[in-house]
Amino acid sequence: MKKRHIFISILLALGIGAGAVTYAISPTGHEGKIGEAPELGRPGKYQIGTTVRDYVMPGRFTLTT
Amino acid sequence: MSGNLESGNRILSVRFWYPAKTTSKAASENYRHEMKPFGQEPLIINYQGRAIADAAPLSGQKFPIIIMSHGFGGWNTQFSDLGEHLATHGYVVASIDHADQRVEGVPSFLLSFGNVLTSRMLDQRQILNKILGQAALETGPFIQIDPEQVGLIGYSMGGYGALAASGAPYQFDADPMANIPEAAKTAMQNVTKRPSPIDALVAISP
Repeated sequence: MKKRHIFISILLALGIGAGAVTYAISPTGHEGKIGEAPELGRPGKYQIGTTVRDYVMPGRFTLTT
Repeated sequence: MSGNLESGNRILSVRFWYPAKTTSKAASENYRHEMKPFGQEPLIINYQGRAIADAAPLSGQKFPIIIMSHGFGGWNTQFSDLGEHLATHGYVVASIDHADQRVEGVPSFLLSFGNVLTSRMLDQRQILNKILGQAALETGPFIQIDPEQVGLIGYSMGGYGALAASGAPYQFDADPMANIPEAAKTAMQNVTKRPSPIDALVAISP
Protein backbone atom coordinates (compact mmCIF):
# COMPACT_ATOMS: atom_id res chain seq x y z
CA MET A 1 0.00 0.00 0.00
CA LYS A 2 1.39 3.36 -0.98
CA LYS A 3 1.75 6.21 1.49
CA ARG A 4 -0.82 8.33 -0.31
CA HIS A 5 -3.39 5.54 -0.05
CA ILE A 6 -2.81 5.40 3.69
CA PHE A 7 -3.13 9.19 3.88
CA ILE A 8 -6.42 9.20 1.89
CA SER A 9 -7.79 6.38 4.08
CA ILE A 10 -7.03 8.37 7.23
CA LEU A 11 -8.66 11.49 5.78
CA LEU A 12 -11.73 9.49 4.79
CA ALA A 13 -12.05 7.98 8.25
CA LEU A 14 -11.70 11.40 9.88
CA GLY A 15 -14.29 12.90 7.51
CA ILE A 16 -16.83 10.17 8.20
CA GLY A 17 -16.20 10.52 11.93
CA ALA A 18 -16.63 14.30 11.86
CA GLY A 19 -19.85 13.96 9.84
CA ALA A 20 -21.29 11.44 12.26
CA VAL A 21 -20.45 13.62 15.27
CA THR A 22 -21.97 16.72 13.61
CA TYR A 23 -25.15 14.77 12.83
CA ALA A 24 -25.42 13.50 16.38
CA ILE A 25 -24.88 16.84 18.12
CA SER A 26 -27.18 18.91 15.84
CA PRO A 27 -30.49 17.10 16.12
CA THR A 28 -32.70 19.96 14.80
CA GLY A 29 -33.25 18.31 11.44
CA HIS A 30 -33.73 14.69 12.46
CA GLU A 31 -34.73 14.27 16.09
CA GLY A 32 -38.19 12.99 16.92
CA LYS A 33 -40.33 10.25 15.47
CA ILE A 34 -40.74 9.46 11.79
CA GLY A 35 -43.41 11.73 10.33
CA GLU A 36 -43.09 14.24 13.16
CA ALA A 37 -42.34 17.90 12.33
CA PRO A 38 -38.69 18.90 12.84
CA GLU A 39 -37.92 20.98 15.91
CA LEU A 40 -38.09 24.32 14.09
CA GLY A 41 -41.55 23.47 12.76
CA ARG A 42 -43.03 22.64 16.13
CA PRO A 43 -45.25 25.20 17.86
CA GLY A 44 -43.80 26.95 20.89
CA LYS A 45 -45.13 26.92 24.42
CA TYR A 46 -47.39 29.99 24.26
CA GLN A 47 -51.10 30.15 23.57
CA ILE A 48 -51.77 32.95 21.08
CA GLY A 49 -54.23 35.72 20.39
CA THR A 50 -54.84 37.86 17.34
CA THR A 51 -56.27 41.29 16.72
CA VAL A 52 -56.38 43.97 14.03
CA ARG A 53 -55.56 47.69 14.25
CA ASP A 54 -55.71 50.44 11.64
CA TYR A 55 -52.95 53.03 11.32
CA VAL A 56 -53.25 56.45 9.71
CA MET A 57 -50.14 57.94 8.12
CA PRO A 58 -50.76 61.55 7.10
CA GLY A 59 -49.01 63.34 4.26
CA ARG A 60 -48.24 60.27 2.20
CA PHE A 61 -47.76 60.49 -1.55
CA THR A 62 -49.62 58.30 -4.04
CA LEU A 63 -48.82 58.09 -7.75
CA THR A 64 -51.92 58.68 -9.86
CA THR A 65 -52.58 58.85 -13.58
CA MET B 1 -42.36 56.65 -14.58
CA SER B 2 -44.91 59.31 -15.41
CA GLY B 3 -48.02 60.43 -13.56
CA ASN B 4 -49.09 62.80 -10.83
CA LEU B 5 -48.55 62.75 -7.11
CA GLU B 6 -51.37 63.15 -4.62
CA SER B 7 -50.76 63.76 -0.93
CA GLY B 8 -53.12 62.49 1.76
CA ASN B 9 -53.77 60.03 4.57
CA ARG B 10 -52.60 56.48 4.03
CA ILE B 11 -54.61 54.07 6.20
CA LEU B 12 -53.38 50.52 6.58
CA SER B 13 -54.66 47.57 8.54
CA VAL B 14 -52.25 45.57 10.67
CA ARG B 15 -52.87 42.03 11.91
CA PHE B 16 -51.24 41.14 15.26
CA TRP B 17 -50.39 37.73 16.73
CA TYR B 18 -49.16 37.62 20.30
CA PRO B 19 -48.68 35.34 23.34
CA ALA B 20 -52.00 35.22 25.16
CA LYS B 21 -54.02 33.80 27.99
CA THR B 22 -56.63 31.59 26.37
CA THR B 23 -58.90 28.71 27.22
CA SER B 24 -59.04 25.66 25.02
CA LYS B 25 -62.80 26.17 24.60
CA ALA B 26 -62.38 29.49 22.78
CA ALA B 27 -62.85 29.33 19.00
CA SER B 28 -59.84 30.15 16.86
CA GLU B 29 -59.80 32.89 14.26
CA ASN B 30 -60.97 32.24 10.72
CA TYR B 31 -58.84 33.99 8.09
CA ARG B 32 -60.66 35.04 4.94
CA HIS B 33 -59.30 36.85 1.91
CA GLU B 34 -60.92 37.48 -1.45
CA MET B 35 -58.58 37.76 -4.43
CA LYS B 36 -59.88 39.40 -7.58
CA PRO B 37 -57.43 38.53 -10.37
CA PHE B 38 -57.92 40.61 -13.51
CA GLY B 39 -60.13 38.82 -16.03
CA GLN B 40 -60.76 35.85 -13.76
CA GLU B 41 -63.37 34.76 -11.26
CA PRO B 42 -62.77 35.96 -7.67
CA LEU B 43 -60.93 33.46 -5.50
CA ILE B 44 -61.87 33.20 -1.84
CA ILE B 45 -59.21 31.95 0.56
CA ASN B 46 -60.76 30.79 3.79
CA TYR B 47 -59.06 28.80 6.53
CA GLN B 48 -58.96 28.26 10.25
CA GLY B 49 -56.04 29.59 12.27
CA ARG B 50 -54.87 28.69 15.76
CA ALA B 51 -55.00 32.15 17.38
CA ILE B 52 -57.95 33.30 19.48
CA ALA B 53 -59.48 36.60 18.40
CA ASP B 54 -58.84 39.44 20.85
CA ALA B 55 -57.57 37.09 23.58
CA ALA B 56 -56.07 38.81 26.62
CA PRO B 57 -52.31 39.18 26.21
CA LEU B 58 -50.03 37.27 28.54
CA SER B 59 -49.06 39.74 31.25
CA GLY B 60 -45.83 40.25 33.14
CA GLN B 61 -43.48 39.48 30.24
CA LYS B 62 -41.90 41.42 27.40
CA PHE B 63 -41.46 39.95 23.94
CA PRO B 64 -39.61 41.05 20.78
CA ILE B 65 -41.72 42.70 18.08
CA ILE B 66 -41.55 41.44 14.50
CA ILE B 67 -43.00 43.40 11.60
CA MET B 68 -44.12 41.27 8.65
CA SER B 69 -44.50 42.73 5.18
CA HIS B 70 -46.01 40.90 2.20
CA GLY B 71 -45.15 41.00 -1.50
CA PHE B 72 -46.80 42.82 -4.40
CA GLY B 73 -50.55 42.14 -4.29
CA GLY B 74 -50.36 40.14 -1.05
CA TRP B 75 -52.31 40.60 2.17
CA ASN B 76 -51.67 40.55 5.90
CA THR B 77 -52.82 37.00 6.67
CA GLN B 78 -50.96 35.53 3.68
CA PHE B 79 -48.28 34.23 6.06
CA SER B 80 -50.54 33.64 9.06
CA ASP B 81 -48.93 30.23 9.67
CA LEU B 82 -45.56 31.93 10.14
CA GLY B 83 -47.03 34.76 12.23
CA GLU B 84 -48.88 32.35 14.51
CA HIS B 85 -45.85 30.07 14.77
CA LEU B 86 -43.57 32.92 15.84
CA ALA B 87 -46.12 34.09 18.41
CA THR B 88 -46.19 30.60 19.98
CA HIS B 89 -42.43 30.96 20.47
CA GLY B 90 -42.76 34.31 22.29
CA TYR B 91 -42.89 37.09 19.71
CA VAL B 92 -45.43 39.82 19.05
CA VAL B 93 -45.96 39.79 15.28
CA ALA B 94 -47.45 42.72 13.38
CA SER B 95 -48.32 41.92 9.77
CA ILE B 96 -49.05 44.93 7.56
CA ASP B 97 -51.70 44.88 4.85
CA HIS B 98 -50.17 47.26 2.30
CA ALA B 99 -53.44 47.54 0.34
CA ASP B 100 -51.74 47.44 -3.06
CA GLN B 101 -53.87 48.86 -5.85
CA ARG B 102 -55.66 46.21 -7.87
CA VAL B 103 -54.10 45.46 -11.25
CA GLU B 104 -56.48 45.62 -14.24
CA GLY B 105 -54.06 45.61 -17.15
CA VAL B 106 -50.65 47.02 -18.02
CA PRO B 107 -51.22 50.74 -17.16
CA SER B 108 -52.65 49.95 -13.74
CA PHE B 109 -49.87 47.41 -13.16
CA LEU B 110 -47.24 50.10 -13.73
CA LEU B 111 -49.06 52.53 -11.46
CA SER B 112 -49.60 49.97 -8.72
CA PHE B 113 -46.01 48.75 -8.92
CA GLY B 114 -44.69 52.33 -8.82
CA ASN B 115 -46.64 52.94 -5.63
CA VAL B 116 -45.24 49.75 -4.13
CA LEU B 117 -41.72 50.91 -5.00
CA THR B 118 -42.21 54.18 -3.17
CA SER B 119 -44.33 53.01 -0.25
CA ARG B 120 -43.06 49.69 1.16
CA MET B 121 -40.19 50.95 3.28
CA LEU B 122 -42.19 53.99 4.39
CA ASP B 123 -45.07 51.76 5.51
CA GLN B 124 -42.69 49.49 7.41
CA ARG B 125 -40.83 52.25 9.22
CA GLN B 126 -43.84 54.45 9.96
CA ILE B 127 -46.00 51.63 11.28
CA LEU B 128 -43.13 50.29 13.35
CA ASN B 129 -42.64 53.75 14.86
CA LYS B 130 -46.35 53.99 15.68
CA ILE B 131 -46.36 50.54 17.31
CA LEU B 132 -43.27 51.35 19.37
CA GLY B 133 -44.93 54.62 20.42
CA GLN B 134 -47.96 52.64 21.59
CA ALA B 135 -45.90 49.99 23.36
CA ALA B 136 -45.85 51.61 26.77
CA LEU B 137 -49.21 53.35 26.50
CA GLU B 138 -51.92 50.89 25.55
CA THR B 139 -53.49 47.68 26.65
CA GLY B 140 -53.64 44.80 24.21
CA PRO B 141 -50.50 43.34 22.66
CA PHE B 142 -48.64 46.66 22.77
CA ILE B 143 -48.01 46.38 26.49
CA GLN B 144 -45.99 43.19 25.86
CA ILE B 145 -43.58 44.71 23.35
CA ASP B 146 -39.90 45.08 24.14
CA PRO B 147 -38.90 48.14 22.06
CA GLU B 148 -35.25 47.16 22.26
CA GLN B 149 -35.80 43.94 20.30
CA VAL B 150 -37.17 44.64 16.83
CA GLY B 151 -37.26 42.34 13.80
CA LEU B 152 -38.55 42.74 10.25
CA ILE B 153 -39.53 39.95 7.85
CA GLY B 154 -40.26 40.96 4.27
CA TYR B 155 -41.29 38.78 1.36
CA SER B 156 -40.57 39.78 -2.24
CA MET B 157 -41.42 43.51 -2.51
CA GLY B 158 -41.79 43.43 1.26
CA GLY B 159 -38.20 42.21 1.34
CA TYR B 160 -37.16 44.96 -1.05
CA GLY B 161 -38.66 47.54 1.30
CA ALA B 162 -37.24 45.80 4.35
CA LEU B 163 -33.68 46.22 3.11
CA ALA B 164 -33.98 50.02 3.04
CA ALA B 165 -36.13 50.12 6.18
CA SER B 166 -33.29 48.34 7.96
CA GLY B 167 -30.63 50.76 6.75
CA ALA B 168 -29.46 49.57 3.32
CA PRO B 169 -29.30 52.55 0.93
CA TYR B 170 -31.21 52.56 -2.35
CA GLN B 171 -29.43 53.89 -5.44
CA PHE B 172 -31.75 56.82 -6.02
CA ASP B 173 -29.91 57.95 -9.15
CA ALA B 174 -30.27 54.56 -10.91
CA ASP B 175 -33.30 53.00 -12.62
CA PRO B 176 -36.06 52.57 -11.58
CA MET B 177 -35.54 55.02 -8.69
CA ALA B 178 -34.29 57.74 -11.03
CA ASN B 179 -37.77 57.90 -12.59
CA ILE B 180 -39.66 58.35 -9.35
CA PRO B 181 -41.07 61.87 -8.85
CA GLU B 182 -38.78 63.99 -6.70
CA ALA B 183 -41.21 64.58 -3.82
CA ALA B 184 -41.80 60.83 -3.34
CA LYS B 185 -38.08 60.19 -3.55
CA THR B 186 -37.35 62.85 -0.94
CA ALA B 187 -39.86 61.27 1.46
CA MET B 188 -38.00 57.95 1.13
CA GLN B 189 -34.58 59.56 1.51
CA ASN B 190 -35.70 61.34 4.68
CA VAL B 191 -36.52 57.99 6.26
CA THR B 192 -33.30 56.27 5.19
CA LYS B 193 -31.25 59.10 6.73
CA ARG B 194 -32.61 58.29 10.21
CA PRO B 195 -31.05 55.45 12.22
CA SER B 196 -33.00 52.23 11.91
CA PRO B 197 -34.45 50.70 15.09
CA ILE B 198 -34.44 47.27 13.42
CA ASP B 199 -32.11 44.71 15.01
CA ALA B 200 -32.85 41.66 12.86
CA LEU B 201 -33.90 41.37 9.21
CA VAL B 202 -35.15 38.44 7.16
CA ALA B 203 -35.64 39.33 3.49
CA ILE B 204 -37.29 36.44 1.63
CA SER B 205 -36.77 36.66 -2.15
CA PRO B 206 -36.29 40.44 -2.06
